[in-house]
Amino acid sequence: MVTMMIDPVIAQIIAYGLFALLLISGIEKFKNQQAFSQVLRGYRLLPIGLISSASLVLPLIEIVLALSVIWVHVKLAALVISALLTVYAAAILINIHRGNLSLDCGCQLSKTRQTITIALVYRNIALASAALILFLPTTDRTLGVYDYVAVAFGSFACILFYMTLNELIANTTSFREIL
Amino acid sequence: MLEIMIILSWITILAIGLMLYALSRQIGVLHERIKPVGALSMGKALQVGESAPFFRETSLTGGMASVGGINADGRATLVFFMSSTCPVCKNLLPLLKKMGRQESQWLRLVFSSDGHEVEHRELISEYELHDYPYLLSTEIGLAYQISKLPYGVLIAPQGYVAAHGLINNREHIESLFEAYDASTKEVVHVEQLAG
Repeated sequence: MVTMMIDPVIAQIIAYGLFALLLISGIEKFKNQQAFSQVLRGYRLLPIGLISSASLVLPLIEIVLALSVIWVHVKLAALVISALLTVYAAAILINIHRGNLSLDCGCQLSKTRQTITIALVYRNIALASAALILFLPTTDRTLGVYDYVAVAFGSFACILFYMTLNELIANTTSFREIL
Repeated sequence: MLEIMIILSWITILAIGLMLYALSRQIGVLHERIKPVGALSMGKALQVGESAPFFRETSLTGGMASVGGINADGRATLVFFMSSTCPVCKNLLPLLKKMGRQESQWLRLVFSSDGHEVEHRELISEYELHDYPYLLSTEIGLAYQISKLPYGVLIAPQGYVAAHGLINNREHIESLFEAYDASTKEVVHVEQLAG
């Protein structure tokens, strides 16, 4: 049986992309902790007593995962990241099924509120799958200068595309509010 | 040569990515700007003639202020529901202050919002709202069933809702006043009929 293998450049692009994603979102949640705890309360999944500690622990987990996907253990971190993103997707999905559609997703804590949509569930599932790619073995080859150029530009492009995707999801939501 | 091509294509991809992001962000900002102009799609809205829910709360500008109920000084109350994050609300503040001064004979202006106190204190000093009651309470917005901002509710001195509606410009405020005039005449008429 031929095992699927990925090129180290692809693996590194994904790793740096996840690093940036989790680091930024973790710091954002820390900075707007009060807003984040309100968002958590809105999701109605955690008991009220746990909300304030969860609003501290979740950003901490995100930051730790961001750092460990680069410096500690890529595969283990990737697995936990994928689990965390799936949990977030499930939380949104549960609230969509509850009909709690005006819930603030907490995607942009410092900016305007954005309501939950199914697109966010797909986005998180896509991200979780990307994280799982890191679980595949990488082909063994030495990287040249142009590989590192590709990693740098590639991760930056991924972050940019992710931001644009988020903006587009937010725009469809705000467009619906106008109509 | 190939190396230059590779770098060049990466730069091009990033440039296109940046422009795409900027474009989508511009659309987002556009949506934010025109958001409150949309149609009023209220679930359950406040009814004209209903008695206005009574609240007595501490004002951020000092003292206690009440909304709803009978106003002893005989003036009507315009409650302006706003948010510290809504650009249209902020644009309206100078206009509201001006109209509040002009119509102070019969009108009392009250600001109502919710959220972080610090932000609202900044807003109060930025727009010099010290002379007006400024209430920070989610309950008021809920009781008045406010689902879009900025929103105005005009309460007659007798404590009933005289007029209400979305406020985006001067005409909207004036139409509230007109609706108020019409409703007071109507009430007087009804009272005369009843009497």
